[in-house]
Amino acid sequence: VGHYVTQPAVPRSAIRILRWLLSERDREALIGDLVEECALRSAEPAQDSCRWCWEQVGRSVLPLLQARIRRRRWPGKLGAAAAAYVVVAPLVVASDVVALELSGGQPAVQAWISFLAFVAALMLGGCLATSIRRGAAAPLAAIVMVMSALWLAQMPDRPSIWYQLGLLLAGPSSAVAGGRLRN
Amino acid sequence: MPRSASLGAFEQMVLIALVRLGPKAYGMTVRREIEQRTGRRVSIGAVYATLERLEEKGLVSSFAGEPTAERGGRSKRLFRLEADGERALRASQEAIRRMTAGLNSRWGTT
Repeated sequence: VGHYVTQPAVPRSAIRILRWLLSERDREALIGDLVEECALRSAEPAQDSCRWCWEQVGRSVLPLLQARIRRRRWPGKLGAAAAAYVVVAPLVVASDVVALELSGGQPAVQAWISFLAFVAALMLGGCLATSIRRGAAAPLAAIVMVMSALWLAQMPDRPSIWYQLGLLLAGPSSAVAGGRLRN
Repeated sequence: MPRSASLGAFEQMVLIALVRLGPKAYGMTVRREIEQRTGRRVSIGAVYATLERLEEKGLVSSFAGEPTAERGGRSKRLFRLEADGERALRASQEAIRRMTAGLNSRWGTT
């Protein structure tokens, strides 16, 4: 197809982006195609070749992202996440009741017990979601974040910003951590 | 309507490129073939995403080639048009031919 002069310089960051977007099967083939075509362009100034490469990567992002979403089968993962949430939500509610009993009327103790139980329940949820469908911990984290935000929004007395942030971050992080543990 | 009639314009271009390129059809050559023949700028990502979709539909198949030095030791993924792909392509082309029949005089072409 042409004459190869030197090993072309496809920017490493471009390769990193493509690696993330591509399926394992197509990863090496597409990057190889890009390297080969860059080599064919080695007669051009390096700057033009680099610009062409970045243009290719830039214009490839959207179609590859769409392919990635299709490949990852989101409906199945979302279903697994929803099922795990249905199991975990009553546990969180029950843990609040238990925290109230154990705290002996001390709000700070109750809040800590409740928080720890919340984290543990969501780790269990992440673990459960991942056992149903690999990769379902991330959608579970998204569900937990949305539900926590809704719960905070409907509270008559808005808690402190730290409590709100803690709740919004701890729940999803615990779900993801639970998924990692299952992996 | 048969499934074969639902090919998009870019899918048809990719399939035609596979026919033209024969055993030399892989991502880079398909991209260049479409770009050279249509003058349209085509991204390698769009070609791969389309080929993946066509493979899922059973219209094309692929296999890994040998790794080569000019590709930094990476192997090619070669693509081949399957019988269902050829049927789908013919059906799409036939649909276009029927739709455009008699329009040449209006467009001022022969």
